[in-house]
Amino acid sequence: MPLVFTLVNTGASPVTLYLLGREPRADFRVSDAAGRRIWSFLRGQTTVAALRVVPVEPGKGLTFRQVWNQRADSGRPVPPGHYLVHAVLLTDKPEGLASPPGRLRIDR
Amino acid sequence: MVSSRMFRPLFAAGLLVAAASCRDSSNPAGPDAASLSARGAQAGSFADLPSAAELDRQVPGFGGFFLDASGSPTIYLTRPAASRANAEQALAGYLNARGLGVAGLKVLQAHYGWQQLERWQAQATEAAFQSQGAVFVDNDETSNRVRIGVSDLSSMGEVRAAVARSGLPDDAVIIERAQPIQLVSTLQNVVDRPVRAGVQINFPGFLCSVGFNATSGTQKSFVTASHCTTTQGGVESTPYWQPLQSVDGTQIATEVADPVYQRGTGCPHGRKCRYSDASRAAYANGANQALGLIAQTSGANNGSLTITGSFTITSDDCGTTGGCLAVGATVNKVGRTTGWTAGKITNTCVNTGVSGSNIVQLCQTFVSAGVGGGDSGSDVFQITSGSSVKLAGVLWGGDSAGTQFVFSPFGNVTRELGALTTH
Repeated sequence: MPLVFTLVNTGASPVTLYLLGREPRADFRVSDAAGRRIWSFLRGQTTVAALRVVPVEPGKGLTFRQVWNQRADSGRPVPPGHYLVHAVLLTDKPEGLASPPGRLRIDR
Repeated sequence: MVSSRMFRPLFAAGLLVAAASCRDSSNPAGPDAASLSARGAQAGSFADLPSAAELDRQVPGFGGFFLDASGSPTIYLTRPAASRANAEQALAGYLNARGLGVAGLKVLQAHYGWQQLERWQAQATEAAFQSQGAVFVDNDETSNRVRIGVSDLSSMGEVRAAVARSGLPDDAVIIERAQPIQLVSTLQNVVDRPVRAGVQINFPGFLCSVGFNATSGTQKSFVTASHCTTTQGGVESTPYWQPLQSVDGTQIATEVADPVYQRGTGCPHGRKCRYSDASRAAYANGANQALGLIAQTSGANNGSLTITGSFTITSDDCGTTGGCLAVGATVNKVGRTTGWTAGKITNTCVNTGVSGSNIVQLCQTFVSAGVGGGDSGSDVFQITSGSSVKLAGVLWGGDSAGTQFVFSPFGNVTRELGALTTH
């Protein structure tokens, strides 16, 4: 399941992002219908804690791509059902810059 | 089979960052791509409050606007009955966007118009600040008066007389005691000379924290993370400024030690390794070094970045690889992003893969405590008594949740950077 997270500066002025790490990174997080986190791309990973200063010109942005293999963090395939996907750009704030939820339905 | 729902992009006027959704057409093998849009900071997506100058243009007899103690929108008008409709029109966008509605707008009788108060504020500023006791002069929208703060009672008469001489009517001025306003120095904005551990440093394109000051031979230096250099591993003479080049353009230090990462014995196949993510930068001639001092904030794990004092390094952890602190011991760190955090060591001598790279840091220590982007390089220490501390190592990473940090023990740092005098 390919996941795409795109951010664009839609304003008229450049903005500056303060992003965790040497290279900009985004986490992708999947929750089940009850809101329980079942998978996270960066779960258990250790990231360097430098802060990169990234200017973004109007109309420009960042795109992150990741693939979810429809398995939980445990490695087991997830059952059919509804799921929510969030992407979070890692910044200097603990909550990062989060996308609204994307809804997925796995039929079988 | 997987089905996904596509989302409309989120656009908002003045949005810091918004998003566009798209399909992952670059992956022909994949089914639908779930595209996500960023919510981010949405300040400016609401109608902003018109400026006082704009309200003054649109509303005859405008004397000030504020939200009262109960949150009710309140406006001063010199002619309330005649000008209410103008006020409602001028504020409709702002009030409606907040669900307040123009009907709830409270109108108070103004004695003075805004422009008059602006002129008086300028006159009073010139007059009041002849006294050392003046703290502030405000065109106070909550009282429709010029409000002046003074630091002590003895200054009050002096300021009152000076303001009266400048031509302000006594009724238009409120003079009150006020606490002197101090410049707040934080880990992020302080121009710290001599430079203490824990404060922000800047090298091209990045922000990190000072780890600890150290003398190597006779060279005055500070230690920070290896990845807080232009290239992680290897010396490129990275320049450093504190807190930012744009704030103080005098370079404080230059990278002088940062061993390259090695492959081979003890390092997993296909990876490169070191025992510490640490580098050393030599202070420029004339830059001061506060050997042994770590900037201290008001408390651990309280989120404060305001500097209130200093810790003093009085000892170092052992020089053994992996360090001599046990699982369960409490350690602290001070860094520019999350300030002073403290927690227990959960794992020692962990060979740690660095996400997004082929680097493995050997024999590192994990701590259950807060961390954030920009804390790299921070000092890690144990409090021994009062403000005296034992230096434990250099923080370089953490989990994406910001609840666990990883540091290179002091023994690992000296193993790679050589002997260091820290206090």
